[in-house]
Amino acid sequence: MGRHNRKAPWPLLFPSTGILVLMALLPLGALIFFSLLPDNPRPGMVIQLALVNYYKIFTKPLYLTLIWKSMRIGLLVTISCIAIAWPAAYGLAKVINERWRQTWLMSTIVPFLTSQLLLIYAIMVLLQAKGPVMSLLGFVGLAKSDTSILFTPKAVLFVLVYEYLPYMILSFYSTIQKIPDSLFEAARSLGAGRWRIFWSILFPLCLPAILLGVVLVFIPVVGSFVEPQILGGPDGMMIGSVINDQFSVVYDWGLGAALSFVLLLMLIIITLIFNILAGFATRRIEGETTS
Amino acid sequence: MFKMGKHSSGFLAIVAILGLGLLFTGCGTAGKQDQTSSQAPKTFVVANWKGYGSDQSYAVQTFEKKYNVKVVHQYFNSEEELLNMLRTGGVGKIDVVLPNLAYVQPAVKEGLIQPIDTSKLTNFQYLYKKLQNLPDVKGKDGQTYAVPWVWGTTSLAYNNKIIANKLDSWAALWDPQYKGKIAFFDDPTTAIMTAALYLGEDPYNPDLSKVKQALLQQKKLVKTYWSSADDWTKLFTSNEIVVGNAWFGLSRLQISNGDPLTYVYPKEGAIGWVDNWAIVSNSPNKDLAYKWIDFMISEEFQKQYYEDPKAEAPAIANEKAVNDLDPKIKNAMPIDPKMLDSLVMQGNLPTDTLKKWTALWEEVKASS
Repeated sequence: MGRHNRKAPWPLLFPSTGILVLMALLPLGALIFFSLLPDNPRPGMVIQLALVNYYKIFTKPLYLTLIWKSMRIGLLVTISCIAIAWPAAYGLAKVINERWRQTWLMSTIVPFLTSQLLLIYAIMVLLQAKGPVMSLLGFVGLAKSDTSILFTPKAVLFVLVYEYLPYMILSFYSTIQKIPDSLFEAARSLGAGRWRIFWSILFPLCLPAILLGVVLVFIPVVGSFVEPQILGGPDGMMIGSVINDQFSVVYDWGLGAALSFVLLLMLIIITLIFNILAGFATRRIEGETTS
Repeated sequence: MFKMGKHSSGFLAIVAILGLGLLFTGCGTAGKQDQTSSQAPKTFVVANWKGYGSDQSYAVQTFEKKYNVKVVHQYFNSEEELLNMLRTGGVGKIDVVLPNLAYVQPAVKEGLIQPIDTSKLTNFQYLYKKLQNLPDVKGKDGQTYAVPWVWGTTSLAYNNKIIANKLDSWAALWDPQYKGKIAFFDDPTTAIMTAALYLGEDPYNPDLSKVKQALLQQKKLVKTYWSSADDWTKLFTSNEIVVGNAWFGLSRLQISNGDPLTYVYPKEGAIGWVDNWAIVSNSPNKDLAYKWIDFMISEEFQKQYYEDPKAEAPAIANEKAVNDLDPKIKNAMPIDPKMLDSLVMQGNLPTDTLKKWTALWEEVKASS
């Protein structure tokens, strides 16, 4: 086996490299190219590159405000997902009876298999005024049954957390599952309390899961525009809607591409910062435990 | 990684165009060979939205039988895609297309569609007078480039079970008593033109600062900005909203489904749109293209289309066909020449105006 892997002939890399070039580098190149076009290309047009679109983005408060707002929502959704997914994944991996694990895992994955629009509409039915959730809350006296968080930014948050939770749970689950139980037992036998076990074992070992989760959740959430459009009400708009408008309403491909690229850059920078922070934290914790 | 596909079907289109442009140039000759082969019927290529009248069996089969041709449909999902279809190889391959009134001028300017001699269309005389004389289907040369086929409005719709009095003004959408019960269509041109009508401004060239103020004022009263037929219907049937601006075809469907909806044309005027048939430049079957358009605007087809309950047809352009409709179907929705005359048509907007309006609308939506 091992010999095989090491000597993998390099032509085998062609398909994957090809896919990378075709699906990632080419579109990215096209994106940058279009972002530098002041006008949509037409046959026979002389192509001139300019930074007009980037100038627009950084001089009009609209775009930066919306990018900032979308980042905030992305962060909130990510943190909520981590907070819910961590204990859930721990339970799935370590607490639940082996026999039921598959069933529970499957049920977390079900939203994955459902169309995104269907999820949104299902949540709308659940949350609508006088719907099941509001009636229950009204009955208990926690809220008026004829109100609802639908068509407010809160509804967008709620649905985004719901949609992206499976990614986070699975990413935590696969990590926690690999931690041998003996590690916890050893810690306990050496007198470590719950907090100490969490901080010295679970947390550092889960850092890769958090990172993966951030990439899988934060980045797509910042760019989402379907949820805000349907559920967000008059105040729901995020940067994704503006990008979508550029391509589907005003056909300003240049501005749309420039906005996409600026957002992409910011997301890459944020992911890098997360990476560095996580690396730093791991080293610190390792230093602590080895010293 | 970055959710590119979800963001921008437009972007994917760009990539696809880069590739397809090459492909199409190769395919052009192959297509022509098919058509010259002697025995098989000719192929007649129609570009339209999917499920939009012309691909109904009573359209395709009737036409195929009458003229011994094979009708092939190509579908687009946006007006811009329509233009791109023509730019990237559609000219010379596609015979007829259905551009919206707002897109006829760009198509004419780029030479994508050719003039139409309306005297060759036996049914043109039966179209509403206003539709026969739309300025936006005429080129600078004074020739007609597109023939109105169906039209519709975005006008005031309200729940007549909840709102007892008769509404007749756009002011309803600025009325604090409906706070949190108003749905407003999420579209820059509709939003700005509607606000302009409400303010008594010129809908094609309003004072944008006044419009913005009005829209910001309205934002506080709005439940949501609806963007699809589904959105609107859900909001309406669950009583989340009681009044808003809605499409003609959609309201017609709701009324026929028994929803308590009243559709009115406010005294300030309503917003209208028109979809038109045009003949593509270098159409391989120009004679057939004339026959197709004549058939599409005929009383026979238009009446059948409008009366087909499954087709969800918008308003039809043939006045004779409207007059001969089944009275029950005809009276369900207001279509009359007087109303049509007062409509503010969403026609050709200069690109800069559209950009400015969209930015304004985005600013309104982004403000808090």
